[in-house]
Amino acid sequence: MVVCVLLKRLPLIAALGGARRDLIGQPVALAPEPGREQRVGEVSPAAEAFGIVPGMRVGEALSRCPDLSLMPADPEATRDYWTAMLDRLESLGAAVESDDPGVAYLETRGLERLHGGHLEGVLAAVRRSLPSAVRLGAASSRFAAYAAAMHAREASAVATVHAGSGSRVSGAGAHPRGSGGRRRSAAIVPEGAVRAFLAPLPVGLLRTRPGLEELPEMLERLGIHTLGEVAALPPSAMSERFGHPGLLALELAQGLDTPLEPRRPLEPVLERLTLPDAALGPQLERALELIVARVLARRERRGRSLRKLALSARFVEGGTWRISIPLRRPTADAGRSQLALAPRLADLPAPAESLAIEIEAFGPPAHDQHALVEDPGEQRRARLGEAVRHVRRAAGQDALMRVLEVDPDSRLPERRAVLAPFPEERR
Amino acid sequence: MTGAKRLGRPRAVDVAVGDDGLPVAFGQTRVESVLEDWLVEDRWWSERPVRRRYLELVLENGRCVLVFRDLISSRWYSQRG
Repeated sequence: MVVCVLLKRLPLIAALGGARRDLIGQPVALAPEPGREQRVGEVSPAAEAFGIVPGMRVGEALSRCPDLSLMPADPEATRDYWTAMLDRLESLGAAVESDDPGVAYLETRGLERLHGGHLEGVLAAVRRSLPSAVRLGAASSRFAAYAAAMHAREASAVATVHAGSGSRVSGAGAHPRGSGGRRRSAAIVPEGAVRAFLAPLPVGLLRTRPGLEELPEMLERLGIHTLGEVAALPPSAMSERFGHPGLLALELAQGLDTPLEPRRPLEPVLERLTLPDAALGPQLERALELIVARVLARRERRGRSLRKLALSARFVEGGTWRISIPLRRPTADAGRSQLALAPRLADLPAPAESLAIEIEAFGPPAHDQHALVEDPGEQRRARLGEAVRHVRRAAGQDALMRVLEVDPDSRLPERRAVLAPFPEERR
Repeated sequence: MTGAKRLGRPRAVDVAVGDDGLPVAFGQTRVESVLEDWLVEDRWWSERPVRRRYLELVLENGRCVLVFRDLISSRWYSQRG
């Protein structure tokens, strides 16, 4: 079984920080990220009541609710909070998949023996290690588990969803821990009831899966409103009309899903530099240079190259900014790393009080030293490249061409090959 | 530097034909025999369809040449196969 751990509105809660209790009851939404499309992020329940949904254009959201407060996101706080949650789940022995803050999945196979030998034991352990606001859903697939967690209502029970009950989660007895506070239920969808559970749910749920964001709108335009209607469609029709996303949606609606891809345990390597004043352009670049050098000098790197870095900043007037930057090629070279990071400094929306780099993923061990023996093929290519340049200088740019087959089986001879400039090999 | 150039582009030629519609002369050179002939119809779904009748000719000087008659413009072309 797959368990979905859902903490709704986490980015908004993190952004509200200490003012959470005062503001969460008011219409609040996350402001658009700097440089991105002008759309609101997560919204509070009060904002939802005005018909504002995440992803809505700011203008439309404000016209629906003129009192709507827009809060700048705090990605650093969100990430720190969620990483701590994931660490707690991993401490239970779970391999956890989490692509977005607020949603995590874990496979219970192999975990049940550690927690009483049954699914309820795993759910109870998860519940104990996380805050009470977390919703839990369990099903045989990732998507169904998410749907179950979405529909886990306030209750004091571990509830089992029966076939055909759709989003109704039935309570079944008192919570084993008998805590006085309100705790959310864990909805369990039994193995054989997944398809029936998903059937009455709206197709809008597919929007939560990356790559299917546009699909629900198209389905609704065609009069397909529930996942059950999607599941009943022939694969050939879905494939023909929607391509790969259509087939994925069909599988999800039928209760199938891809296997979980648990995250690798992180090795946090972070270097932060406090900036003396509100630094700008060249000063920021100097600071970046220094941080890159510090990151590369960290012992935890153990000679490995860097594959993915996160550049983050804390602003003078509060709030944070964070951006993940996958490097085109893993490198341990300071110059190349800086070349990849420096352009992103221009995206900083406000003066920063500190700048940080975190290694999000390591690459293979770095091989930056030159080879002792040069590859003969490489030498030959370099000599050839030199010769090509000489010939072109002497006889003109069109002096060296090569035949390039473009459609060798064409019945029309003029379509089979072209004469293209000979490429210059450079070292 | 110029870009890529297509190879084997058709070149317009003078071909004299006999009563049976087969070539008897390629330019000033007499055609000895027709080795093979075939029809190519392509891109019929587009605005520029291709309809050609290809002939492989042996000339009296021993050369082999590939010619085709464009069935749309009724013109003769030679081409490297």
